Amino acid sequence: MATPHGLRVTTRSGSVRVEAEDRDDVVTDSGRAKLKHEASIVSIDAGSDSVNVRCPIGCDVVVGSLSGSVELVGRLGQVRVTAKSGSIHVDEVSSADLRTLSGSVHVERCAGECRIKLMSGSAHVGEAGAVQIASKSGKVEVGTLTGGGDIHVVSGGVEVEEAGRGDLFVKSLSGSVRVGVAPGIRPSARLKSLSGKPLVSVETGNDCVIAVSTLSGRIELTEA
Amino acid sequence: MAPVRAAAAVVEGAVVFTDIIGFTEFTALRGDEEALALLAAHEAVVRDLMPPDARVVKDLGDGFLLWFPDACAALDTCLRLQNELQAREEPLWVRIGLHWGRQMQRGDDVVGHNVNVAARIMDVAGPGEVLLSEAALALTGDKVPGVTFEELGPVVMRGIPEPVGLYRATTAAG
Repeated sequence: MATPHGLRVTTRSGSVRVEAEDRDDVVTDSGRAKLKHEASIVSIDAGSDSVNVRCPIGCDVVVGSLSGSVELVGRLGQVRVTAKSGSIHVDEVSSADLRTLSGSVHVERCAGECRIKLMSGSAHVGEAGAVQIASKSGKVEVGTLTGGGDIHVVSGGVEVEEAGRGDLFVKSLSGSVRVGVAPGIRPSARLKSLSGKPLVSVETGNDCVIAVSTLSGRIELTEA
Repeated sequence: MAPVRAAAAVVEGAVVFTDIIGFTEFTALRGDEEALALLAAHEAVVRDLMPPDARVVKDLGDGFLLWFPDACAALDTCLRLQNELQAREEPLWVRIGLHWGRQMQRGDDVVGHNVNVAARIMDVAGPGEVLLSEAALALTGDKVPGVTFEELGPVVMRGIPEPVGLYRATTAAG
């Protein structure tokens, strides 16, 4: 059988753990889960059970879950996770689309675009090539951003530790926004707050655009 | 006693839900007058872009329930709607869900399982996004020029027995 390049896991209420390791097949510990092989895609329907899955390193993973948490361990390819109320934890992926209505999202490292949509939980991204994050009320924290980004927050705060290697756009209704600028970068700062003067403590220029707008939050642009 | 049968007809079409994200917070921050202006701006863009044979079924307060007889026209309208909304100065952060199927028409309203699915799809969408079901994708596919689709996978939704295949539609303009 060909080495699987794609894995799809669905469960209604159990948690999902997918671990990438040096192997060329997909195995699961859930005896009741239904496995289906189609070309190089393995589909697992866990019903309402929790499921642990082991798959090859670099495998693309799609997870659909209603209420359990989702944990993706090791180095994976493109990952897509949609959960209604569970939290999502991701170690290292090439790109990600992660959505949860009431859980939090934690990503250690995403080489490409890291897209996160959440309603009430917080989002933490350690390092990403680019981010596209939308959050209703949770806090958004991004460590190192090696490319550009787009962040929408209704009422949570936004903190980007190190940006400036691509254009960054942050829109917030009421949360405060702090962006750290990478050393040596002189951004074009387009900052707009209806409730106070933005604080800019870096030299500006035209290396990239950092645009932040908020209706009532504080804006800070500082050195990373 | 004889069972009560509601007067309803079966229709087939695309159901679209739109929703302004953060409307409650915007109203609290900026007051009722600016909130009303935001709603008016949303409504104006929606009504301006609706094809003649499509209709606004319901005003949901901070969103709309729309119905289209044609899936391609529905998708095209949704994408143009997002492009228009994102170009505006106001924080019109709208999420959109699109699904195709049969519904029951009850007076001017449409009800049924497929309407519920469309609402759940909208729940998954983020600001500026158009998400559509596999059923809607099957009818649009490559028929709407310049649109790319990204699979989000089978999504398990509350109250919907089977996972729904979801796709994210984007254009070069966004």
